Amino acid sequence: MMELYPELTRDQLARMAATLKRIRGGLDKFDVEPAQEPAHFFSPEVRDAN
Amino acid sequence: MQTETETLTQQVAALRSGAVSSSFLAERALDRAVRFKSLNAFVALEPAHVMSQAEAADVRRMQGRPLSVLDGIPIAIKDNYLTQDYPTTACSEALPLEPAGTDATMVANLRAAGAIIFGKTNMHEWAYGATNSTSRFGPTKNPHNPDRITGGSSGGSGAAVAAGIVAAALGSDTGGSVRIPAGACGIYGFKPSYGRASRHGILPLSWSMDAPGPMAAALEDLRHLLPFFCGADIKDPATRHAMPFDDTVSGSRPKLIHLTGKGLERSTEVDTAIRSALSRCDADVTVAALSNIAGYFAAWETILHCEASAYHAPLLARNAAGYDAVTRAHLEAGKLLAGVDLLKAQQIRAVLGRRLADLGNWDALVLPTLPVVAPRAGEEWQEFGGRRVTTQDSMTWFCWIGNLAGFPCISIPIGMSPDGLPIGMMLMGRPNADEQLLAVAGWIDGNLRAGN
Repeated sequence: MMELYPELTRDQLARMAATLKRIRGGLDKFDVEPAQEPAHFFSPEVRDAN
Repeated sequence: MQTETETLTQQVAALRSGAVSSSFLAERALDRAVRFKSLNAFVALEPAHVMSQAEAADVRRMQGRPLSVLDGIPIAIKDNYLTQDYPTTACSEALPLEPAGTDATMVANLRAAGAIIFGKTNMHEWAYGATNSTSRFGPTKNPHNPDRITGGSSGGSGAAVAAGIVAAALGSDTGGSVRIPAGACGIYGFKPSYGRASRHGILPLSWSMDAPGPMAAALEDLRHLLPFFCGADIKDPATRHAMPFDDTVSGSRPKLIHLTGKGLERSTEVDTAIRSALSRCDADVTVAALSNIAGYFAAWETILHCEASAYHAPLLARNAAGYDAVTRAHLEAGKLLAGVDLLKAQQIRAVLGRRLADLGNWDALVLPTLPVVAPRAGEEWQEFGGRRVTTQDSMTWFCWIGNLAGFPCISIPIGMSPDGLPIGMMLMGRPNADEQLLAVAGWIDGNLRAGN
């Protein structure tokens, strides 16, 4: 990751890695039905068509 | 007999009876802001502007035409609400791109009601943290012990109310930022249901989880404030179906579920205080375990970082050096999450809402507001219940659940630790049942205060 972000410090990179590891670990271990609709809704409005 | 004017409710009554003037309240608040300057609660405060608002309120009241019950009452505003009369910085060196000179809807509502827009309060940079230790203006200090943090991100608002500078203040809440400082400072904080109160003009952290919220010295103060929060705002599409606040809802003996389980641990002193309060509040209390906390938390973090990174992308490209190092790391991490991660998180979010509903017939879900009392400034880690977690994670330990679910939440003070630090109880209500939640909180608060 250091090559991607040469301007960031080791501490910042370590925080990023720890955050991503924690998130992916949590998401991967949580089983959901494939068809489970995500909790967001799109409500079409007239202004969306403008 | 001296008129009591420490709570907003008392101030409403005293102004109405003519026992005090708005100028008196404003001048006293300014004096206290000077006396408690070391708390670092305020980042912008103009005494002349405060007094001119108070004098105008006094004239209106003398003429028999106050604008509302709040006319002439000083209310402090967190520094991420746009205000036409004060700069808005989110306490960051990376100054926002939003135009100056406008009011957030909540500020506009209060201004139209005659409230004195008292000043801007210190906060954790961009609301992207829960300690209030990271701010371009320096950290805030806890009025109960200046060696302790206030929690955040609305820590300046919490300190200002807890110190008695103002009776009420505005905060914002994405993972507990109203409730955390309310709990750590021993005051009341309310996060409305998602979509019940307008976010317009509040610098976003996470669009789908942000909520504005009042913080106050007494529970009944929230009843005066919430009508100015709840309801539809054409400038916030999430509120399109929001109902105005119904102040006729009253309480009866509530059914409470105390949530426990892996990931919901707390310190012994906090657990003892919660169990004691539940045994004394004359409620029907059962206990239920909520499993999969790590997965739900990952979903909250995913949505938080993705939405924050998207909002901040233009400013980060322009002025990355303006951000605190940890804030920058959060924003960069958010860019590395994939679309499928975000959608999995949204799937998990839907499961959480159903899981909480499936717990049965309940009026409120109960957790401590915080797993520990306010930590010492500079402490990086907290240990409780066999866990060792960062101070940051200990602050959001329970509160994020309400934001991921979008449920209304309140923190009420229930007692003090042996060290003299406040302990708070958090209650979560059903979505859009904000009035019922306030009634449940009123039942518990009333019984605890009556020594029942």
